Amino acid sequence: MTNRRLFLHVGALSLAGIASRVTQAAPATPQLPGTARRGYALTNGATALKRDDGAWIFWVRLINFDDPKSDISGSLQISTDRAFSQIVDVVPLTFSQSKSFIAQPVYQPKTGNVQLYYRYVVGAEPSVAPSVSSVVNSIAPWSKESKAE
Amino acid sequence: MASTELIVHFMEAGSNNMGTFQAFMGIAQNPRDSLSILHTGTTVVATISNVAQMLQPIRIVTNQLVATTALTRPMVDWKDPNKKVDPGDVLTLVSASGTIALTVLALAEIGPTAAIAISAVVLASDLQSAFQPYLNSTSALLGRLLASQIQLTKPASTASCSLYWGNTVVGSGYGFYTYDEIMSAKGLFVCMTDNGASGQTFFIRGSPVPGSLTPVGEDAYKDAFCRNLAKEQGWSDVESGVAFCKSVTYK
Repeated sequence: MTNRRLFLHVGALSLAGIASRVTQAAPATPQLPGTARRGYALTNGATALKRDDGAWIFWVRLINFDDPKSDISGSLQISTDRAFSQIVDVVPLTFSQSKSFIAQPVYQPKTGNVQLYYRYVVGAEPSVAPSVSSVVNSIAPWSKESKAE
Repeated sequence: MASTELIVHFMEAGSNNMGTFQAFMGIAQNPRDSLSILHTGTTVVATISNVAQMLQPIRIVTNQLVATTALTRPMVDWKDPNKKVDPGDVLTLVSASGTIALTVLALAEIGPTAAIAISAVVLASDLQSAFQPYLNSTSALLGRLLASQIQLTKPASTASCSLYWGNTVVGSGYGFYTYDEIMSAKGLFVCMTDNGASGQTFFIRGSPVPGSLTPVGEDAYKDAFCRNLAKEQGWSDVESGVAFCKSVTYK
């Protein structure tokens, strides 16, 4: 019964197009990751939800596999084009160890009825962590959650 | 009807096994079944339309009970937009098919207009009497510690659903990490316990065993952690040291 319901649950989620995924259970026996990972990575999120007042709350978790203790500074770049040649806003961010490297900036779009693209940047340049900055999502006044681009 | 988000702790008896929770999530997504919240007996005050997990489960180990809890965000449709549920109120959550009946203990004010916060504990009925004395402590612990880490603003994000509460440096503060980060750093998962407390109060403590929706090999997790400790610290008598570590230190 539970399995059938879980199946229906998964089906309902994908049909409705809801971004949240069914969480996996912990492995039954201790599992160590095969190869050590290096560099910066987004482990969760990079998503945004629209508040009732029209502002967007972003949710992102960024870690550095080479240095799991130090805070990471970066920014959220908002642009009107997918290529980020027209950056309209930059929100400075700190991913701090005391906050589990989670950042939740709030951003109120200043432009009118347009879709905006956003990405995260480590340090000052997207070239510091290309794999992080290559993840681009969009927010639009007519939707309630961000969309992958 | 007024639709709001609620952040609740779902709690059920048993170590690393959340069958009722999985059934609960299944019903909430099933168009042929429904979940209602009843106040004072039989009045339906709200219905639940959508349930999403916000964090990986946390284990609870006390002298009286072993349980697992998961932070969850249900969407609640209120029948009456002015309805208010006060802290300490006890409600009932039932499914239309009758397969599930749970107790809702309000930790904070709940209602269509209430601010979002960890606002209730949803309990399997058999846990209520054992758990009730811990209610104040749970409210303080989870409210303060979790809320200082996860910003519980509206709309609440469920992007954290794959994270565990734990640490990556033994002895340092607890935060939210992925399974791989904790395991590769030989860190510990948070477990709530009353061990060493004078009254019925929860503390948090590190445990090598993760909280899980499905059963996990507790002995295997403890064994791997303690053997690594033996190796790192160069214990002279590994076997008795590991046995002590498994049965006393990380009981």
